[in-house]
Amino acid sequence: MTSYQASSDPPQPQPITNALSSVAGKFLGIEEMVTSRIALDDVATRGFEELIQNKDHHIKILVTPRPELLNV
Amino acid sequence: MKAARFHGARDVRVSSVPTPTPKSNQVLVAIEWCGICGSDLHEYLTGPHIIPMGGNPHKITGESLPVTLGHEFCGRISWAFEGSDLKVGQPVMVDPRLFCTSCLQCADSRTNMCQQWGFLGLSGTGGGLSETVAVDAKMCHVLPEGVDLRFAALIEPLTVARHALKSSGFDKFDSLNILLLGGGPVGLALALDLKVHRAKQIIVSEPSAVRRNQVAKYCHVALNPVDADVAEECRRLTGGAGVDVIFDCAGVMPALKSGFDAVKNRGTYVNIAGWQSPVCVLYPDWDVTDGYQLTIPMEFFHLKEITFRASMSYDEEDFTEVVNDFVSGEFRSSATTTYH
Repeated sequence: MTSYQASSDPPQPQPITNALSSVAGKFLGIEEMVTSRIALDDVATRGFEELIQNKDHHIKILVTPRPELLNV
Repeated sequence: MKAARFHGARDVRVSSVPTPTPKSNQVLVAIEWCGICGSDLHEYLTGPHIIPMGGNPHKITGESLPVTLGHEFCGRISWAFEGSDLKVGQPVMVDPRLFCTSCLQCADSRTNMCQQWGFLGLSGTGGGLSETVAVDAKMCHVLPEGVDLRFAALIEPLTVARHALKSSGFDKFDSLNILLLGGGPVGLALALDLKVHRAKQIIVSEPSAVRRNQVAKYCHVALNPVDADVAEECRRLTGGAGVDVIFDCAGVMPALKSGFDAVKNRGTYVNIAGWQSPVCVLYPDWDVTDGYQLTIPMEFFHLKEITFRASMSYDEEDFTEVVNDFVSGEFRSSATTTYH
């Protein structure tokens, strides 16, 4: 489904079809919640300040203390 | 080790702190991933709020700021005491809650409402925005080997959503029309969990275009409350009746009012949002006084006999359920799945 668009007929609920791999069991499509991955060293600037400056572009920022995991 | 600690509003510093020494009931978890939550951002913007200040340390931890942040975290056991069921290297998701175990609420298995409630990552004794945390072994949920830990930290916000579904008083959602106010992380987690519960119709009201487009993938209709009359649209989408249940993940008056208008007679309204949240800072064009006050619109509440409920945090049962659903079918990857 897309965002709301005006129309004269009441739309009926449509099946939501996703072709998504299951990385999280029953929670299909959860990976799209993660909008950024950053290193612990950058948490103030690329985490908290980023969530203030670019709030609309993020759902969840995930942080790792192990920078090598950013490349996995 | 490194830890990101909160010193005050807009003052989070990554500094070197001692690696924690586990108590007799604790294991050490080497953190892999930790999410930043809306309540963390609230503390960062205008805190301390939940974070205890000097002179008023948290009753369970005895600590006050600076505290290590981060309560949505997963990792691997890096040390376990002899006799523990936990083994070094095991992937775990941590239930970060702190509760006293002895108050009336805890004794009644309502640990989410403990009179001294706190969280690792807010109340002291470490948090997920660090290299290692000492955790009560009972609060570690073991994940199967091979689980994708890159996403496991999302179990925490999903657990918030799961508790909210239960707080609605319904246990089946397949015949219900649902309106979610707010398409941020909690709204999206609710949409995901409502899909697991096969909700009949999920409608989301979200003013931000980017967030609306994101959440639109997980719901049937995503409305822009700035352009659309949310209540009118909800009636149109439900044959005139209005929605059965509202989940408020926004915590601002314009959204609440549209929800009370959109709900059907004898419908249910569930508040999850932390009111007095920074949402008014995030949406500066909304009236701040509206955002910081909760006023019940009596013309809807009274005339429609609306039930107004609230959902606070989560408990052990919620956490266990979500972990089980998270790892369910883990190895059936790349499946094409159809909703309904």
